[in-house]
Amino acid sequence: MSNLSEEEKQKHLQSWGNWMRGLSDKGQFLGGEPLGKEARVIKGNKKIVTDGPYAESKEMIGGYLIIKAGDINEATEISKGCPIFETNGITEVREIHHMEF
Amino acid sequence: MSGFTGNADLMVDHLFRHESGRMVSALTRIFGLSHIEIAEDIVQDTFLKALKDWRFNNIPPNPQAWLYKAAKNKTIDYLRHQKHVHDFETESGSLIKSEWTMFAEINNVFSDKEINDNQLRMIFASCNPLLPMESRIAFTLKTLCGFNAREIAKALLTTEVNINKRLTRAKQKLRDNHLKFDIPQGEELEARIESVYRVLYLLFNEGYSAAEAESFIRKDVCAEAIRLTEILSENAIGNKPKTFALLALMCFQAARLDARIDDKGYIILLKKQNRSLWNKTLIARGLEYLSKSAQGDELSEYHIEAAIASYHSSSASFGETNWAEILNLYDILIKIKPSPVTILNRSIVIAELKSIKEALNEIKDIKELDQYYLFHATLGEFYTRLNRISDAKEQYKKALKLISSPAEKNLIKQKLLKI
Repeated sequence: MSNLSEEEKQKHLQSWGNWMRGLSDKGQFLGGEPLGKEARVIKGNKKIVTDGPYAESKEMIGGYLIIKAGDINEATEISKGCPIFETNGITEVREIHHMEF
Repeated sequence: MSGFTGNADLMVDHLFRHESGRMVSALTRIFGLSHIEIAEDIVQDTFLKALKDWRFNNIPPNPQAWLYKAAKNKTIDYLRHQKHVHDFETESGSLIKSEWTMFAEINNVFSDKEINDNQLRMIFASCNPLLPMESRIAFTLKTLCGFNAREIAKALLTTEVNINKRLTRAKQKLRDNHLKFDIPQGEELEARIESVYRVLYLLFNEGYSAAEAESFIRKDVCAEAIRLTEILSENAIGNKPKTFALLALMCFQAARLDARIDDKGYIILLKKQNRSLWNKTLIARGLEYLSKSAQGDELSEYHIEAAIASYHSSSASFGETNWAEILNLYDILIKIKPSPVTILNRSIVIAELKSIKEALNEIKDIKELDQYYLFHATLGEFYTRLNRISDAKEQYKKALKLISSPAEKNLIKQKLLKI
């Protein structure tokens, strides 16, 4: 994102807006939030705190979206429309798991 | 730019009248009709903030943009606190729950493209037939025209308590019926648009006839009726000859507002009005709308009433009025809207064109108008001109008993004195 020109940035933001509005219109957008860069990871029974899982790498989780899809394959297809790929990003698709008691 | 100096209070008052309707309508897209009071609270808070801020700093160069930005920020604050508590069942519903989309959605409903559309939705919501007619008018003045309960009470000649009751009832109806903030479609649209015409017409008439309301309130009500009708005419849904006919009628009538009431708030009848006080710009606009209305094959009551008003507006003096054409128009109007009031108005034309006797014959047996003061006032006038003094007095006295407005009472008293 940071190496885009102002005009390219606006265009990119526009595609995010359009994509999400499209999901919302189809009833596929259920929620989600962008996440901050700073993170803490708390590990093990000693509860050791470190600066996030990706402190050493350039990767980070920019946020999450909850979408509605028939199965993981449909969700994957929806995910391919995400404008994050315009900036060479990554998405990971997972199902919300139903807990059974 | 340092912005405008000047009276912040006056500026805020002026902007409230012009912007609050737009802002409440935009925010109702977010919160829905069931939660319209949230939209109203946010708008109210925004104007309070403006008042505080502008009294100490200067008025910003673009006050409208300032207000919209402040309202958007207040909305975001509200949503951040409430999004895990409330579900708003609107089109914006999921978009306003996420930081990903919240900003964009709020900007969207405040965009130039949406502002008129939002107001049109509000016009249609205000005119929902589920609301009693008197609530529709009060609700329109409150929600779209930025009138407070005190001003509405003045414009509609009733008490503030009454107005608050009507507004509460309207909101309750909207909530109980889970009404969507949408423009209806198909057959429902056909019916609703008739209610919209009716409400706009009555709204205008309230402004036109509330003689003893302060003159700025009367003018504001008329101007708002015209503004809302213009919003309707600019949208594909309302871009119809009938809308233009209603607009033409409003412009012709509004042109005479200044000449109709004297300094003391007394009514001056058409015959005695100083025609040089008639607003020529409004008459020209009326003529433009009238020509736009002359399309298609529907001839509505608004077409005829506008045409009648145009004959009066374009006549240099009362003596030169084209009564023959006006009578033709009344003959058509009676077929479209056969009401005793139309017959009464037509009789006045007959009195001018033919004879008082013929005019009297047209109306003297109408029973339905016994409680209508203008019926007795007209009879009083006819009897006076026929020199039947005791009959005239009796009619004027009946009229006086039915009038609540001091300006109109005064007019009848003057007539009684002159017999």
